[in-house]
Amino acid sequence: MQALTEAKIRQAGEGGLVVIFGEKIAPGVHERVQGFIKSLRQLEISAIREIVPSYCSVMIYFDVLEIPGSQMRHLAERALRELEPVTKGPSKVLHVPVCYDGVLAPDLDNVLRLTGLTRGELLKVLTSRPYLVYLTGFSPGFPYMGNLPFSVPRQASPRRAIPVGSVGLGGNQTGIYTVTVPGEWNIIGRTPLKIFDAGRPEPFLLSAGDYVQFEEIDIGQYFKLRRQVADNLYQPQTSEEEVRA
Amino acid sequence: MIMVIRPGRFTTIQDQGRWGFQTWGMPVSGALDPLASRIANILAGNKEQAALLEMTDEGGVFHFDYSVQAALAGAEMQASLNGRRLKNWSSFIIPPGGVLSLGEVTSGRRSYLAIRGGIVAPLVMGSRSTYVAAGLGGLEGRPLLPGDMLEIGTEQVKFRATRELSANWRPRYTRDWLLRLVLGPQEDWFSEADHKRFFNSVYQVGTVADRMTCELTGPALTLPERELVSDATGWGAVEVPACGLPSIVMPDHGTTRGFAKIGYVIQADFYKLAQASPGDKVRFEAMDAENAADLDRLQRADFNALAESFD
Repeated sequence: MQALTEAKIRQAGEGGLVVIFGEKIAPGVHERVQGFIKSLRQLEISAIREIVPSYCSVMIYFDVLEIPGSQMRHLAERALRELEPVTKGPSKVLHVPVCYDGVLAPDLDNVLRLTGLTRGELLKVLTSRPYLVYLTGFSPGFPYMGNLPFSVPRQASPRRAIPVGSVGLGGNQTGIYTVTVPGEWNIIGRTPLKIFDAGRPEPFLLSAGDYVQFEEIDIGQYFKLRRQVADNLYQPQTSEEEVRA
Repeated sequence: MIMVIRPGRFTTIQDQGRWGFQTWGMPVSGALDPLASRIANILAGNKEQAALLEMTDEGGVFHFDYSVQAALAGAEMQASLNGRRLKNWSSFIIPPGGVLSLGEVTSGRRSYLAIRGGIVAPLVMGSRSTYVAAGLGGLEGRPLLPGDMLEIGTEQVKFRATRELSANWRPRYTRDWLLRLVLGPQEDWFSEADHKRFFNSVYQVGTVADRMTCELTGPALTLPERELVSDATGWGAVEVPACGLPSIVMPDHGTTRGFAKIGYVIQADFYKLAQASPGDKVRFEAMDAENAADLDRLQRADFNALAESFD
């Protein structure tokens, strides 16, 4: 019963309900978000058009032609009651090779200055453990990952077009740009992987709840892997791991 | 084949949207006016979800090498076929070599051109809708350009004689819009004084009114001290950023944002968001969620009746 009383259900248009689990970003809330989605899916409600999680809440878009709002609300409450405590089973870890050199890392020096870290120390922070994908969004498939043990401010004026694959740092989060968009995060490397590819049967390599293990590669390996990705020969490396929060 | 001689101010291929990927930041996109786009398709003998052209502010000039049935609905763009005026909200036959010419809007903002059989575009993640920000869908993920060639599809069609839509079916486009709104999810973040201000004020559509957002100018609301952690945001959401001026989320908008939302415009009023122009007046009125849902159901019944009456 603890799960039920700790969530609020709010209206989001006549065809939407938001189930709110908290007001702060924290791994505990994240696990309840994932647990709720699981129990909601188990109810197999055909009227649901889409379920969209975010940091602390779950948006349910449903078809009012198929179901009255009151019934959708009852089903959401039922899913809350049936919410299984999220057992920390193995998570999907995507290995993401990143080159942190030269033109691929235009803001690296700036970040070293801001944090007082050496290049070696920064790379150790980024590559020594997997980072949780809290959320995907902003642009298609963009993974918001955290938390970094430091915080860097966003750039005052955004870059007009950040190259696809760029790895950015903003606040205490890190992310990977999946399409060319303007952005304010500090770019410290680039991955040859296509995190998002509309042409793939599974367009998105990452979902909320997955983890990313960054791996340093040099510029030669970067171009080699990029060629493989372009030729559709690269197989993304994933592993199932028990990740300690 | 359709040759685009002039594309118009901003013309894209749209269908009824790309559902299923908002979790990953892919917005739904799709035709901004659910009413006019569906009616254009019904008139042309297509399924409501067929891909068609959405034209904004000024329509294009198109050359058809073979004869097709087509339909126009939405904003009035003074269409003519081989120099002869065409009626809006109607379907018609375009002869081989026909040139369809549309001009600047005189009423409304977005117009829809449906071709019997649908416009051919690859299915990208289940939809033919164009999402320009990510450069995908439609024709190469972009608005049409002069010289573009569009193929006409052979999608499931029904025989529907050419006709004019009866007057009682045509929505009235105005410059003073009433938007009905379901309160939530953060309506309680705003004071009673703010609610009064919001519902009693006349706002105006600002200069930024595109497929991502419809910004409003007018009396600012007081932003609460609380910070909203980014949450999911959908079409019709009235979000209030730091400046206190409400703006309305449109189908190409980012799927998660960090702004408090006082409410959502009801789906039956989405067409108003598509047809309102910068400078138009906007007022809000609260509506109960179930009443809004009843309107949607009535509208669906009406659409079904309309399609049946044509067959």
